[in-house]
Amino acid sequence: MKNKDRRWLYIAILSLVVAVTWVGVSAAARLRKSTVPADLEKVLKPLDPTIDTTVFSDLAKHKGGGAP
Amino acid sequence: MANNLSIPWENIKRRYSRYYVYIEPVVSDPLIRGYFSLVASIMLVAFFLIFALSPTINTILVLTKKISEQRSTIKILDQKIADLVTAQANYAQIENSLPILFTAVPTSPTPQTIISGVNSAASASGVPLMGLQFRDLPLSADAVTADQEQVVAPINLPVVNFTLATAESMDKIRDFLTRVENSPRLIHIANLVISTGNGLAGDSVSVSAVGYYLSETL
Repeated sequence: MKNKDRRWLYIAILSLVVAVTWVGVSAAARLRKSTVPADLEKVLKPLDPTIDTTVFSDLAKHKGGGAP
Repeated sequence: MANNLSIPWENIKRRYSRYYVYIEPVVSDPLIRGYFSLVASIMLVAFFLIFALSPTINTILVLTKKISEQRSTIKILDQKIADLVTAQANYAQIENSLPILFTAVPTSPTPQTIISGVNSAASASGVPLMGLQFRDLPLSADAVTADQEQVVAPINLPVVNFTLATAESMDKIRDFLTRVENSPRLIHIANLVISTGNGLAGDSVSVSAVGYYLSETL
């Protein structure tokens, strides 16, 4: 069978490959986008609840403006 | 009067048989017979992949991702609620100590606390104050924009710059400078120029210092 006779078969296979690539690329592009809204992302920033209380004890030493 | 327009079957067959004659060599070709169904199936699969399966697959993937992201959002928010409760309890513990903090680092430039601190240090040390000067003094925190604020290490907060001069013995000057640095207002001595005096004049000192304050723009 000559190659010229099978050109439609090659076109069909290449079309299938293009279609599969199309589906893969569009799926990958959709998966990369985040579905979380921007204002919710601000709210989701973690909060450190610890407060450094040694600052207050250090400042209390200065309270009287004491001599060395 | 209606005319009878029925055409005999033989005439129809004769009229349209030429189209069938053109198609028949194509259909009877062994190449077409062997490959047409395969090629048509593949093209049809490609067509439905793009126009039917692709939107469906995208929707499934997006919804699955949305579900997992929302689950993680719930976990993060639950953790944040617990952290807020802890932060509230910690704040209640230090609430009584906040006046000490706001005295040391007020929310506005407040030069009067610097002046009172320096004056009381000078009185306690027995050194005369000469030439207490403030440079670029904003009278309120509202009057200062973010790019005008000068942030100075080591604490990296906005500052009020001031200079002062005094002349006394080195011991008293040392005592005075220590009292200034230990005053309730947070003051950092940035530069010190000492000129050794002779006789009764004593040593003279020129001091450049900064007083820190909190800024709303930070």
